[in-house]
Amino acid sequence: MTPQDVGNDRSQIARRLHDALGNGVALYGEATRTFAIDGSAPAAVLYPATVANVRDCLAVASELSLGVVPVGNGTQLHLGHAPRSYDAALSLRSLRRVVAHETADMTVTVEAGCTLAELNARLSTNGQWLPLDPPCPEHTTVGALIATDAWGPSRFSQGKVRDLLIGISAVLADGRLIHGGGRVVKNVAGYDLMKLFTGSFGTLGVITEATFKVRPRPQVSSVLVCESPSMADAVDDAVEIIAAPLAPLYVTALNPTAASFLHLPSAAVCVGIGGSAAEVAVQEQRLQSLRAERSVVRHHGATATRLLNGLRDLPSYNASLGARISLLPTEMAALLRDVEERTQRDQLPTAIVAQVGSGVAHLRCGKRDGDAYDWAALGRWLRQCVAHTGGHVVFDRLPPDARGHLDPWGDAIPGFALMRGIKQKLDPRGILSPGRFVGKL
Amino acid sequence: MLSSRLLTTLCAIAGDDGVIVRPHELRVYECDGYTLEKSAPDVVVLPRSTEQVSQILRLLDAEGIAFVPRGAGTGLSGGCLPLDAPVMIGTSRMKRIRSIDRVNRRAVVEAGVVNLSVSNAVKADGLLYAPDPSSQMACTIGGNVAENSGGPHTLKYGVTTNHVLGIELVLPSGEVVELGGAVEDVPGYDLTGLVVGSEGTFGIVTAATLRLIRQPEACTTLLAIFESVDDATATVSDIIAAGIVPAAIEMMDQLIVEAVEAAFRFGFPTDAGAVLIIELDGLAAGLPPQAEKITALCQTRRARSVRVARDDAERAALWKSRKRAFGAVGRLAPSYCTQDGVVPRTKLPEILQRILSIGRRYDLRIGNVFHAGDGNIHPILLFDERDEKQVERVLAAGREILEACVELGGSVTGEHGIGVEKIAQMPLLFSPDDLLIMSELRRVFDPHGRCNPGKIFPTPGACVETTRPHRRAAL
Repeated sequence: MTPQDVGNDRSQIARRLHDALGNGVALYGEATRTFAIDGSAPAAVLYPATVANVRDCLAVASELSLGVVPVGNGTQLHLGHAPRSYDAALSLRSLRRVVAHETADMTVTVEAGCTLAELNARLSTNGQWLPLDPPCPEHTTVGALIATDAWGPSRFSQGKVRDLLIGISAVLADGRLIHGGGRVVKNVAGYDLMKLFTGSFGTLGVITEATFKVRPRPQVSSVLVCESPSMADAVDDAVEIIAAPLAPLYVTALNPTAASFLHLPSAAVCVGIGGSAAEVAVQEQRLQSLRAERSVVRHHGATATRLLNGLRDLPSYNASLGARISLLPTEMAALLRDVEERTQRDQLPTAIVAQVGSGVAHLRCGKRDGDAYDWAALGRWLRQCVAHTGGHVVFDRLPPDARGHLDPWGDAIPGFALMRGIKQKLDPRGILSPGRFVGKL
Repeated sequence: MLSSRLLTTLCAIAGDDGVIVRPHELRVYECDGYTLEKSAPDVVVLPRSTEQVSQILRLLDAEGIAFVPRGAGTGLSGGCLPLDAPVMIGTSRMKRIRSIDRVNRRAVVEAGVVNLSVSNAVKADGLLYAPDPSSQMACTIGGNVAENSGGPHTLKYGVTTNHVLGIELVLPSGEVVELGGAVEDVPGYDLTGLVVGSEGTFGIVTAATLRLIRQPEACTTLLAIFESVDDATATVSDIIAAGIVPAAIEMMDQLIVEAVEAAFRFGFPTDAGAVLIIELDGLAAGLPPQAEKITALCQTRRARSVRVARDDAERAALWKSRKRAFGAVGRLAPSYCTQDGVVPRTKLPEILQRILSIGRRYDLRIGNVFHAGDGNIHPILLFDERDEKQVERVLAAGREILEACVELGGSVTGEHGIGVEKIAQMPLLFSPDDLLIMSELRRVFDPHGRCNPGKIFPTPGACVETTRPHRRAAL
């Protein structure tokens, strides 16, 4: 495929990229469908093989004022607004080296295109891991992990990207390479660019390299499934478990629909236990006696892994409407009860996965058979209910007809003027993921 | 000089007792814990509320006057030294704990609240606020947020930024913004994370939403005595490499042990090369095997003895010795300068050798008391500040130590901040583009450069009279 084969309207852009970057960096035509956002594909997909290549790509894009969306494998393209302009997807997948794993220092420096699964496979040879467990680690690149601030159930005990990222390199829209932090676990020199880039959604720069703190993997782990009569009960149970003298890796509540995806018979709380054999044993025993009245099923080995992978991946399941609800743990039971009532009344099969200790729940609402449904009204209702408790909602899946009526990120973002100011300083022409993020930055 | 009209307005906002102008009273504010540079402000204002801070900043903005924020003044890098900033705004009277949510483990506290009083307020509920700088009996949350302070227990629990969920910030324009908050995952850039550690250059933080954690179920504190610093630091690497994450690993060398022993009479052997204080915490069931493993690792490195603190009283005495070590050093020399560098943990033996030889070369006594588990060193350089020649040697030796840290893959500050002290070292870590971008970020918050000017970044154009020219580096 050469730029000449691309449709007329975009061939101009493709040709200029080709002239500037040559073969081997860019793909055109059909191959670009993989990175379509909201149905529209970019004119080209760029695969720079070196940081110098990334800088060249952005220098050209900046000169031509092309809209560029940085991507890894494109797992999160359904999230956010459609880009204002989308001339090229810039995939970091060819930059995938583990640059340095300092096992005794417990740090790792890795290029942005390395997937989390690849990285953790490497770390596991030394009994270590980067303790982040977002959905689909085999497709999630380190760059995407940081840019989308991806996390999983273990954030309850292990923290998020912001707690583990200690150094970052990124190429700005004009091709300048910048760095923040370093390779040591404690460092307060300069502004914390790691925090700025975490969750910045590709709008400030293209992340090329990152350094993380890593941790020892738990020697033993298990999942204890505590059945509950309903979702609201499961949340209450989770709150009780969190207050108990345990140190769980995660405490995840599931409604009956979510539980059924994992072949569990009812609403449940899944408690991840890990550590030394002695620590695991005492916790299992304490949890059993805490829940003496009710069933607790202990899973270990392959079944535990299967369950954990299910818990981890559930929030990424396709859905007509997907939402991430953040609120205080104590507000969760009542809110989710209302949500279940409403979705049942409207006959929407809905899976709910709640990380109770972190105050975050994922909602996956399925299709209604036959007649039209006002998804935007449901979204507005949900956002209003959550806002009432002081929380917020991000929609990560929206049906096409609801997109124009619901802002995926929500409106009235506190500190937005500062965010716009930062975007203007780092990407004054607005070429990086233009319009994708909050307030269409 | 500030106009009397301005002073009258400041009095109207903060009250007569909230405005300090008498020279002898201003002397208290001429430096923080970094005493090598001094400069008193023209006026100190002590507001009682966010609203007052906002009014003051609006006034200063209208007049084009620069200001510097200050907490308890325990900082160690000159972060609140007034440079080209006639007005100092102290948060010491904003010390209300606004709310505590025990179930959700959150607290909203004002900037002037003392670090330790947060933990004290939730102690009975089995909770604590994890970051525990050695100055925690005096330092304030506002200062902690500015410097992203650490402490011994950050090895396991992380530093200030890992425990701050939200911030109330008054911008230099006087506008009050709420960033982050009790609910996590607020959409948008993580401005809370950016503000923490910005050393008071983005505005004045007036309150913070803190994460509280549960007190550990059990705790084991070990004291290991080594013949040499080398053996002690090698043991630190061994413990980390064995996959054990203690709550804290602290090291004190012989010079510090002598000073601490003279001050607190804990019973440290003053002839030992170094001691390690190693604390494990978590579920009671998990601790004995870890303690055994650590004891074995210490013995492999020829530890003279390893003993476990008998009870809470002995543990408290150990920690008191460690946390007040800086103060105890006052017995050894009229002045001391605490350095703050970081190396990868496996490079500890090497950096301590380098410090030893630097000390010899500059004819300075240097003690070491530091957060070994994090690789965060604190060489303490002893001197007499009345002797200008010694002061110069201290400054030069400090610079060499920091350069050595960078050479070994580390950083020039782990928890004290750049302030004025380490401006010249910033180019060792960051490229001109890095520094330019950081300066641009600052301008988003403070477009006219009136909030804590002269800090963090080398500014070749700055027309400030300084007694220590070394901090103006060429970009």
